[in-house]
Parts: sequence; C-alpha cells; structure tokens
Amino acid sequence: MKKLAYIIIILTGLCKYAHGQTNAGTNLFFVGYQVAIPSSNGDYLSATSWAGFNFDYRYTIKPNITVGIGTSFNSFSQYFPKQTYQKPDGSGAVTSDMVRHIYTAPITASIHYYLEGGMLKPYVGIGIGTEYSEQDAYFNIYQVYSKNWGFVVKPEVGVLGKFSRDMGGFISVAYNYATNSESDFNISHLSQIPITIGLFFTAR
Amino acid sequence: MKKPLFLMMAVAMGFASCLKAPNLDQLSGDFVVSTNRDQAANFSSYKTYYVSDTVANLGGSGSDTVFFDANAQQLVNAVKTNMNARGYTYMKNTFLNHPDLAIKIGVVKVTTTVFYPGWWYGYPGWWYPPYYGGWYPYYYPFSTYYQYSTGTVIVDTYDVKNAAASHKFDVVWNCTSFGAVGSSSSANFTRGVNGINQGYVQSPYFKTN
Repeated sequence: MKKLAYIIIILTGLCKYAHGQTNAGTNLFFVGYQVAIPSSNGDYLSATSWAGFNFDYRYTIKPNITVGIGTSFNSFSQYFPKQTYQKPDGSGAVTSDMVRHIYTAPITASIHYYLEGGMLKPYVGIGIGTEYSEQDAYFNIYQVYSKNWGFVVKPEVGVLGKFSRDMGGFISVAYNYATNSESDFNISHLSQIPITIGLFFTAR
Repeated sequence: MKKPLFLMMAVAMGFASCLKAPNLDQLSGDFVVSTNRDQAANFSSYKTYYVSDTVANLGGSGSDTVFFDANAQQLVNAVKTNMNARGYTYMKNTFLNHPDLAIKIGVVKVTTTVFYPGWWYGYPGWWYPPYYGGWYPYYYPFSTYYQYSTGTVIVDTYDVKNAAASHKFDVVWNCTSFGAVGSSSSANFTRGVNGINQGYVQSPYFKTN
C-alpha cells in the first residue's frame, strides 16, 4: 500500500500539463497493470490476482465525456490443502489437495465523465458488456475445466494526469460484476475489484 | 489513429495468448481418493470379513495377473489394519467360515504416450498462421513424445452375508485411489497404502457399531 502511495505522489508530481483541455475528437489509449481482488466467487477462491492487464480505448465526444471499449485479463490462483469433499447425495466422498484457478476477461463498452480538476482530473465511468471466464481445478495430474460467458457491469472511478501534451498516467478502481456461473464449482457469479495503474496516450 | 489501435489489439492478443498458467508446484502428488457406499447397507450388521492375500493386477498390457509379493502384502495389511480398527474380525478362509464381508484389492497401471507431430497446429492457445504482426509461433520443428504412468488401487467390499438371500454379491463399499506414479514401485505402493488409509478416514460410517 505504501508503494502505491509513492507511485501516486510521483505521478502527481509529473502532472504539470494537466491544465490542457481535451478537445472533442481526441482518441485516448490506456494501458495499465491491474491487480484484482475477488469480492465474491462463492467459496471457490479468495486469492488476489497480481498478474492483470487492462486496455482501454476512449473517444472524446465532448470535452468532459468519452465513450470507448475496454478489456482486461486476470488470473486468480489458489492452493487448497488436502480436504474431503462429500458427494451431495451422501453416497461417497473424494479427497485431494488442489489448485483452483479462475481466468477472467471482461470486454465492455464504456462511458466516462471527467470532472474539472487542477493537476489531476478525476473521472467516473461505467462499462457494460460480456465477460469470458475459465474456471479450473487441478489435482494430481488431472484437471476439471469449465468455460463460460456472462453479462458484466463495471462502474469505475479514477483519476488521470498529463505528463506531456499527448501522454499521461492514470489510476482507477472499479467493481466488476459478471453473471458467469458454474454449478459444479458452486459459482453463482464472479465479482472482483480491479485496481489499475498505467499510462494513456492521446491522438487526434 | 488506426495504428495505435491496431498495435493495442496486437498487444492485447499477445497477453491473451500467454495466459498466466497456475503454479502447480504445491500439489502434493498424493493419490486422489474416492469412496462410494451402498446407502442401503447397514455397516454395523456385519461382524466378520475376509480379504484375499493376493492383489489383482488388472489392465496394462497382456493378461491380468496377481501380485502376492511384499508390496502387495502392504496393501492387504493396510486393509486388515483398518478393518480390525473398525471392529471387524478377520476370518481366514472365505468358504469354510462364511464371513459377512469379502474384500478384493486390485491395481491398475497404465502408461500413456503423448505424441506431438512436430507442428503445433491446433494446439490450444496458438493461432496458425498469425496474420497480424508477421511473426510465427514458437514450435518444435521435429516430432517429440513423452510418457507418463498412472496407478489406481481399488478396494471392493462385497456383502457375503446377504448374498444367498439376494442371489448376488453387492458391493457395499468401494475405495478408488488414483494418480500419477513414478518408477519406484515401493514408492508407488506407499501411495496405495496411504490411499487405502485415507479411504477409511473419509468413511466414518464403516464400522461395527
């Protein structure tokens, strides 16, 4: 957390070009490193994904409003020590340790609104789209595997600051709720809190 | 404007194709142990059992054989120890003493050969040919193969007590332990013994009282 604070301070220090107005017709390209915290995946897993990426394209329709498309990738993985799983009908049980894994890739259409700011421009946005997900359980040399698509909604808040005329940095926090479900793994939906830090580039 | 968007898509696809594989180093390699029970069976109604001192070697290449060496005796003894601990009495001979339960142990070892024809076409995660970016996926220019072996230990428990009345031997309890095995047969049989022990641990209902 401390590291994150330093990064924000450094970014803030670099934001000497923040006053520049973004005009309608500008294209913005966002590339970010993403950490995602699962907020509820049933009891399937609770480990944070430290290997996520985020890509966003936004088009300025008004000086303070953009529409765009975005996607991100996250891999959640957690080891579960040996335990016994009862068959639902009580006729048997299976014992093993396992590694559970979830891969998520939401693809959303989004709209963002930018507040007036000095050095930094805070923004709020919402994305709606679809999420592709894979859920796996690995045990011994075996794998149980499921993949599915769901509907996703992703409200987001963030802040961006420009380093130069056509480049800047951003940090954002979102809530990513997807309807992907898998009854065998007792997953009714997938939700996560992605925190993204990265760079953006502008082009006319 | 088109160029950065295209570049971004290429980067995105690049990341998607090298989807982070989960770290499986922590997996113990112990057998997966699955048990099944006959829910109609009353386990406390049985008092005595018989277990064959040979282990059936099923599957693999050639005819089925039996094991009766020291390794096989480890499996037999594991069953005896657990059955005695649950209050059942061992009877030496099936037919003369009419035990209530008869137990048969079987093992299966299967070696699987995986063959790559030398080109990753169709291998999941790769597109061929990649029309964007102008690079080709990494591949082995020659064919290659590897082998792995899996082992299974099966403990079937038959109801002898009610066999005359029902005209069949019902399996009242089954324990199947399975997973990858190595080249050391003593280590493999140890996996089997651990599997049998775990099978009883996860079946607390299997006792005389």
